[in-house]
Amino acid sequence: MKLIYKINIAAFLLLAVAACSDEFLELTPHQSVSNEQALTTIDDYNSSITAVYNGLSSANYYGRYFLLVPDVMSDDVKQHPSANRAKDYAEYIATVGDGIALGMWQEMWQNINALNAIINADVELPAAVEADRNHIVGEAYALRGLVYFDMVRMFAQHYTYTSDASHLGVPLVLEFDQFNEPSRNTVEEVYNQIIADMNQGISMLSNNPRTGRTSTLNNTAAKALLARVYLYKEDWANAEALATEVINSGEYTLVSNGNYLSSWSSDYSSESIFEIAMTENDNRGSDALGRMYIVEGYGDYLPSNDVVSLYSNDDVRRGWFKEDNFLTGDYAPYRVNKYPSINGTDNTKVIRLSEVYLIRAEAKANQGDNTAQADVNAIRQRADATAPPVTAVGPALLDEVLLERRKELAFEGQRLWDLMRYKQDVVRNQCTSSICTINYPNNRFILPIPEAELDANPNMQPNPGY
Amino acid sequence: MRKMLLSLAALLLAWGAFAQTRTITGRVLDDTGQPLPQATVLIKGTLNGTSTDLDGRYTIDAANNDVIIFRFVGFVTKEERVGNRTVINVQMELAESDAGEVIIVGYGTQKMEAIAGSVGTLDSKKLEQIPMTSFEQSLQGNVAGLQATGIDGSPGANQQIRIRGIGSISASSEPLYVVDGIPVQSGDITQLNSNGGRSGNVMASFNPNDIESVTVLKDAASTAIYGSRGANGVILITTKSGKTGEARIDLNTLVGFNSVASSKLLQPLNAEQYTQLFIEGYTNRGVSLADAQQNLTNRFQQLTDPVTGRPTDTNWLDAITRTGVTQSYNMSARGGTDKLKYFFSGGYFDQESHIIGSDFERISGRVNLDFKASDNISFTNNLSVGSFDQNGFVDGSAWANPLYNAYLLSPLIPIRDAQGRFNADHKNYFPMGGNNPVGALSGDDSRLTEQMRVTDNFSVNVKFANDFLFRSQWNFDVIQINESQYKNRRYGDGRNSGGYAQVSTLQDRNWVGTQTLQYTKTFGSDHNFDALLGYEAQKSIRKTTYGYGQEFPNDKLRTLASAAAAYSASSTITEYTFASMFSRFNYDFREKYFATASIRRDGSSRFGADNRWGTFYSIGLAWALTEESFLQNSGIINYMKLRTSYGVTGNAGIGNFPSVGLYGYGRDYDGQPGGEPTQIANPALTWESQTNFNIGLDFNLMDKLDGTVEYFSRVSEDLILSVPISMTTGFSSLTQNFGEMKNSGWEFSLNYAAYTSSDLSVNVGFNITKLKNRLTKLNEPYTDGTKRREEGRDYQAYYLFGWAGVDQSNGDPLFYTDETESEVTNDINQAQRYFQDKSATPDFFGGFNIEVAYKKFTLNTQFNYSYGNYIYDANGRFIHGDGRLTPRSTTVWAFENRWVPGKTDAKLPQHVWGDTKGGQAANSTRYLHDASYIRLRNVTLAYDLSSVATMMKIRSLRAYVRGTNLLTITREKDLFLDPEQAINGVAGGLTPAIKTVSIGVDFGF
Repeated sequence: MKLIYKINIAAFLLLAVAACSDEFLELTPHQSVSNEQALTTIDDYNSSITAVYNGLSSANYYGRYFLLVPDVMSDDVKQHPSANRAKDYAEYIATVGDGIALGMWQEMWQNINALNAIINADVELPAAVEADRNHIVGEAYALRGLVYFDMVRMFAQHYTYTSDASHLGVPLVLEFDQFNEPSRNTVEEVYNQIIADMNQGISMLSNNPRTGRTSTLNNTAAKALLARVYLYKEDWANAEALATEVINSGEYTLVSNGNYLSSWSSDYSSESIFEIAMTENDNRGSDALGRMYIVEGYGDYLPSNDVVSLYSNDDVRRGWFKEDNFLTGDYAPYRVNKYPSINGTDNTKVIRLSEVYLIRAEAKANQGDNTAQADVNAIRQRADATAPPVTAVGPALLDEVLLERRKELAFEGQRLWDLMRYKQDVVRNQCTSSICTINYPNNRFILPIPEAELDANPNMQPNPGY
Repeated sequence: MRKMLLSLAALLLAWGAFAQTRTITGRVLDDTGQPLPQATVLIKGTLNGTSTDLDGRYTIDAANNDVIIFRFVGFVTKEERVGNRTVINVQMELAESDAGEVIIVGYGTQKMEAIAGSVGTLDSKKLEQIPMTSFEQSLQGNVAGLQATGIDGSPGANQQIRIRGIGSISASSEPLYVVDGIPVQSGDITQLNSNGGRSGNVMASFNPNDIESVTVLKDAASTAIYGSRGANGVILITTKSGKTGEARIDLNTLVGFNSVASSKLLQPLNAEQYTQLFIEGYTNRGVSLADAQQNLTNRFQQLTDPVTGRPTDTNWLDAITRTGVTQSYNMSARGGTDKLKYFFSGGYFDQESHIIGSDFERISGRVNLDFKASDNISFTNNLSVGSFDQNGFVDGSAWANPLYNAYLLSPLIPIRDAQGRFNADHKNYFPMGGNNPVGALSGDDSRLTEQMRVTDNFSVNVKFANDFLFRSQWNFDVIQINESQYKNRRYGDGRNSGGYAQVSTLQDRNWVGTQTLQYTKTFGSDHNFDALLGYEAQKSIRKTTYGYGQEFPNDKLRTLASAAAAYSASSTITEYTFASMFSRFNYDFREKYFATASIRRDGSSRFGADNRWGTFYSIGLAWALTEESFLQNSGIINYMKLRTSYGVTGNAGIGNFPSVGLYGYGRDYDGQPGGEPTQIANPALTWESQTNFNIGLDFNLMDKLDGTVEYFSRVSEDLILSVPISMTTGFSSLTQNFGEMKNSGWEFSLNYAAYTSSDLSVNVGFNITKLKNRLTKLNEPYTDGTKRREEGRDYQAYYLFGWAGVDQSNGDPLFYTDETESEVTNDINQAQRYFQDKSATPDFFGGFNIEVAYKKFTLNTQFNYSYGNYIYDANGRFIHGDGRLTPRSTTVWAFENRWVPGKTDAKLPQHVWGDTKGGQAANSTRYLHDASYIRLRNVTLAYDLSSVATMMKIRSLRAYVRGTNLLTITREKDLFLDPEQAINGVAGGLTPAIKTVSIGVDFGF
């Protein structure tokens, strides 16, 4: 009897120990994939580039703050008394510990890292998918240019701040190194990289966006983005040339007067060149840009009368403003309704044909070319058929271009940079903040390099004034 | 000779007159009839004592009404009244495992006297019919060194437990829970309704009435046998098992009434106060009085309450609070024969919070069986099933948190609209999403967590070759959690989505197989030897599914099947495994010198490929001083043991795949799947290790005073730190084994039998823990919320802006510019954060209790206290926001203490709508409070109705009244929060602790 027990016990123990193989302890995650296996097929290229667009759509980036923050710093937007989010920028009192600057910085670098991984991937793929890979890597280059352009605009002074753009830009990181502690390149170096990346992208991109619509980049979209970079760099000839290529591509047409207002509540209009998709299932919800303005959302920010008064009564763009009877005094009477979705499903327009017309107009006007008038008229008279055509020439024509830019691109996050590029003060005539005039030049026109970055990276120079 | 006789007579006389004592002799035998040498023999209440010789014989002088106490390690202490006897022989009985002398330790039991490690115990009496959802709530104040706090006072919420301080920065600091030998899942694993890990607790499915004892293992000698999971201490829960004898059937009933424990909570404004503040907020901005009045009438559209027809004056806090009811019914049967012993129980527990719509309801059942198949083979199976439903709400600074918006919503908003529905109209004029906490908690919204847990523990024990015991134990623990949330279509978070619903299911399956072989042998009569060898394998798999939908046809249908739009769904699987070998040796010499050593080798899927296996060990020594001849008959010192231990344990609570470089998915865009790098590879990453040292002294003086004094030191090494790295890498931190932290301190416990007679007994217990925490190695200091982690400082040291009060001349907020506190500024940008020398770690904490038994009455009181810890009121800056956010309301305290012209003792700045002075900046000492408190945790007055029981022909009957959290005294006058908050001291708008007054009747059949 005893012997039988002993045998049983031995068997038990053996069974137990047998389970203790290394296999038992070797598990793989179900929601993630190890680095080594993450970028090996064309599907992996697809999912990797898709994640970058997802990053662009974050509330810290094109989903909200990248457009909102410069606008609340400008003269187009005034604060509602209940304003909370981004209020420190409207008041110009943000600190290095600010969460928005941190969130945006982090989001942009996460995208750069993901793009570097795609650009630097060294994988053998079947010849049949080589064209697809080329397009994706082209997207990656163009997007890296875009992210660096956005970063250098947000965290560094504009290109013409110093005569040779030798002022502090942002670090250029082109490959992953977890121990890297880079210092900042000059703005000129950053622009050179942006232009190189975008040109590389243009050379690789096909004309068919992967998603079949303008929610991802194609060749012409990359050109439109590069036109904007040249404009900011005041390389008027290149800006004009690329804008002309985009306009003449025939891929886009200006939305008609009748459809223009409704194009802001429907996605992928005929003039859309690149926009960030906010689908019914995948959007920023209560964090959406539009909900910062509409009363059904946070309603934190209101249009200043400074900008509202620029539109004639016949201007279709007046429809971007909606009266709210609960607003009183300086806060009355309008709310911004350019992004009307209650659920946050408005796509964020990154670049559209109207802007490309205005880029060309500005480039031409700066070169003394009066045909800029036609480009301004295309935008002005589309919005208001009764508006008299622009006939001004010289500096007056440039003023007309800039006025039209302000009206057309209002609440698209461009106003502050347009003021900076022309070295103008921010003057809030109707002002609900404690600060109403912000003089150019100003350290606080740009965001602080986040404290967390300064703490972690001894080579990172802070932005002066913070 | 005559002289001598005279002397003798005188002596005899004197002797007789003095005490009338005589010499008693006798023999002390053990349970088998063998003589017990060295047993203590003592006259009760005196210092007179002796011990038995090698034959177990003793001689002692005693009088007729003396009582002689016989004591020996491992046996039940026996008392004999002398009477007219001159020879008193006793046979000692072995102490049973539940008699307190033998306690449960990891993978076995040990005599209390033989333990060299540090353990604390809690018996079933302190757990029966507690009006609380889970047993952990009883641990606080009862076990030295253990801090237990209900982070959230809502029924069924999670408990944070720290044994001897916080042992880790980023890995878990929670102890390992072991139920009847199985390491089980503890804490909050809910997906939807967790409120950041505060509101769920998987342990709440266990019925506290089923617990026989709780043992808390604190030092390495006791925890190293749990290897890589022992570093934060171990809580061993042993459930009741059957006992030989007739069936004992018990029925316990309890009904209680719940209200809020703290009497000083903030009160919201009334309509008159709010109106005044509203106008003032505008005039202080320079708006004319007429315009301010106009703003009021423009804004508030419902100034007449449609229900009452009178001017609207809503007290939102009153409207969401109530007196809740607790009910607890528990029935059990316990008995058995030599062959089969059983314990059955069934329980029902229902607790309503003092907040409407928040409750917890549990049904539970248990069957514990022991079957002795033969002299050598026995089987046990413990099966428990528990199921609960928990209704709760969102907390923190979410608009929907009722305990937050009850203060922020204006009293000028009515609760119901003209149609009698819960009001939603204010979403048009009051910018907080139209939340209506009364409606949300009354069923317009829902937030339900349902948990079912089945735990089974099967084992077979085989004795062979006299000295060997083989035990094979197979356990499984299955947890199923279904969570759902619904937000109604008209107001609150669901208003823009046509209502939305979220559901989540979680299934956690955990199995453990443990094989142990034990060898027990006494060599000669002096050398007792006991060895244990074991192997254990564990696998845990968790699967979750999640779904979302919006656009509901009405608010009655709340399942996703009725959602018309925006479906989304996801599912996840996570798993981990452990494989372990362990061994323990115990040795003692004549039960005088004890030595113990344990070792465990753990392998886990969690550890990096380069560090898959780790070895953990401990040694412990103990010396029973009272077994030495020099202390044997001291009379004062009945028992004294010095013990010490040293060892290394690990903390594997580091997540499931921390060492692998990963791409994370779900980064989708425009309907396409996306994935990007989410984790940097670190194959060297491994468990955190902890070096423990413990020295303690246990003593008993004169059979009246029991006590323990202990010193401990826990050094946590290789702490996993998220070391910040330049974000230009695409990551913000790199996880490394780097830091080091030390917890050291003293524990002191005393139990004093202050008075004992046949009618009255008074017992007093007291314990105190003094804890010191220091970060001893950190790569560089970093600020983490309200704290800053810096080498040489307490891990929980606050690092805040120094609030300097209000400028009484103009109502501006003032801050100290720096730590010298010599200058003040009204501009926070001119102020620096600095260390306040205040921490969330208490200087000391503990509990004390008094038990009085008088005839048939017994009175038990238990107090808990904590001293020197500070809490930070995270919602304070919103609730007391000086008008920063128009037109949010505030509290009466703020109203009364705000600055107005002429006021010279204002505590809060001037109220200005859209305030830009920044007085409400986060991380300022304005919102820091001293949380030192004493709380009357439990007071129970019971009456033994045995005479009625006899009449009713039942075994026993007992009735009692009980108060839980009846009284709270705080050191700070302005503490408007419950002093019991999360261990990190940050209070985030959670349900304050419950006070319960209950009555109970226990029937024995």
